[in-house]
Amino acid sequence: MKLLLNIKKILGSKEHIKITYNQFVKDIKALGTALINLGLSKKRIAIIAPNRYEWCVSYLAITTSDMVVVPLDKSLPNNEIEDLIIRSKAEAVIFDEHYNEVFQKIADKKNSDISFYICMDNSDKFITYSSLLEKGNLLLSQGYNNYDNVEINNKEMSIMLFTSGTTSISKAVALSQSNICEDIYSLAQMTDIRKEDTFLSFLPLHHTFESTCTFLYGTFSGITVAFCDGIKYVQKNLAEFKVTGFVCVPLMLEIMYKKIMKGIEEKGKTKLVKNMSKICNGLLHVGIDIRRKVFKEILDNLGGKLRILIAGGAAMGKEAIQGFLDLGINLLQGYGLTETSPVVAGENDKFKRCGSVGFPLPGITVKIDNPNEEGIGEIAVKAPTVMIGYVENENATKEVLKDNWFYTGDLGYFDKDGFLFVTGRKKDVIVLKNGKNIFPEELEILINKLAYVSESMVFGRPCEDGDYKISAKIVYNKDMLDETHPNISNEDLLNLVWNDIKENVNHKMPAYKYIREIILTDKPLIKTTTQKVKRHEELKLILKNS
Amino acid sequence: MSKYKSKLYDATKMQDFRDLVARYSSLYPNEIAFEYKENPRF
Repeated sequence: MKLLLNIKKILGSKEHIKITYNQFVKDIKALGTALINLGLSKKRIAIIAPNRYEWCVSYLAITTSDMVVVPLDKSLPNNEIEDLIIRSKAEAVIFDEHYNEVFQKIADKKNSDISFYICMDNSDKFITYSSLLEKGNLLLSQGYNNYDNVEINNKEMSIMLFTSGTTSISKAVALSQSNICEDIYSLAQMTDIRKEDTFLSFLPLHHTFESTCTFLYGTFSGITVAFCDGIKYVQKNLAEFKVTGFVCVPLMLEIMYKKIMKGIEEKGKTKLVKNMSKICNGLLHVGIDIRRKVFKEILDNLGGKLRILIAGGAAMGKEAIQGFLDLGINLLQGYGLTETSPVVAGENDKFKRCGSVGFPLPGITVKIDNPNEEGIGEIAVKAPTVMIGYVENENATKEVLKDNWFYTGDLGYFDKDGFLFVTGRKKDVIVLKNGKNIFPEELEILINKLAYVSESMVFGRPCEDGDYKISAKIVYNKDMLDETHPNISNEDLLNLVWNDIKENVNHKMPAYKYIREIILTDKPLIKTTTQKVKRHEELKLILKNS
Repeated sequence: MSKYKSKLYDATKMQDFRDLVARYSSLYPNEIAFEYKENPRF
């Protein structure tokens, strides 16, 4: 029996569990009732688990019971989980079986404020989620109505989020329910997500991008949230769950696009697809949309139903953006931060501009602070979605919140039509001795277009004269190179990449932006769970190794 | 006047997550909210 179960785990079961909204509400109320009964009103409760149904029930049970939810990154190493549990002052934690060991250790140490350890799975050591549901349902059947009588102050901290740590020390962001509800209100005015939609959830739910856009805005719109088998299985899951949309980071879409293009190339249809795209786009201008019919075969490889993609978190290459739009998929690029609940700007169903992140959402004001001669300055936001502040960190709050403006630390500009373009993080800009600025993302987009490149990071290597040498760490796709250049030597590979960099990157840039050094590797860059490159850590590693 | 605009649709504004949960019951009671495999591949 156990063997059969393991085989099922490896192969993946075809049995789908479906939960109705009625059941979801019933479970939220039952769990909320049980948590109130444990005396946790007004307390902080941490959640840590992969994306799963119980995570969503816990999140809304906690917040609708006037407690503070502390979603933790599922990929944190054990010592950081312990550190954040202590720092959060959480008095209960809800976790899945992957974390039994770490929470047993924390429980044994007795160095945190945790009184209740609640496991989402079966356990004989911890309180179980199912026993709490049972208890909550029993209390409700006996007329215990404390859950119904809870009053929510929608301006108080209800969600406490540790920033993902692209910088070394994470801060805790305090968001209110009003912050998130305002963001949902703005999103709903930009794009039409419907109850007929099924969104695949694979970015981690602890991050506001996934929790606000897929989970909260998605369920606000009545969609089905389908949980992915894992990032490797996205393509299979698209068909299995009949997925119509998902929220993702550009890196994923660029990889997906390269795969699509490779498939087209292998069939010798590159020219045909390009020509058909031109015809389709021409017809689109006169209101005739035949893209999904023409590109049915390609769309079928993506499950056949995919119609909307929401991307954010980094810049994306124009070719991939246009590629998805050409197929008839509504690709919406957006921009936001945890501190802004998170979406600040986005393209909408009607107006898009390649390379931009769209307009500020309705109700959100964006200004470019201290712009240079090109109009590039720091992006600042004034909106009801802006966080309350950093928890117990007045100095850090004062640094970013001034006169009701939140200073994002990102640089950008508006074009003449009001589209916002993000050029990069203020702290990542390489400022040369001659005063010229180099935005790494601008070069990375060009490097990443090379077919065999999986990802890249451009950085300034400090020189003895106080200037910087523009350098790029390039991660190549070994499988693809093995196919196109079998048995290529390291020297030949270096020459191949150098020639491509010169032709496809440097020659398209002014001389001061030329890449002067490359580091080649097939090992992925260090990233957060939301797939953002940890530049600081990467740079430390590079400088240490050279 | 720019032809571009950010607002395309009217929407309902919620005050808090209680409103969200109430919305589930009133608008989509029998729709599927979540779907997942009994034994995902992982």
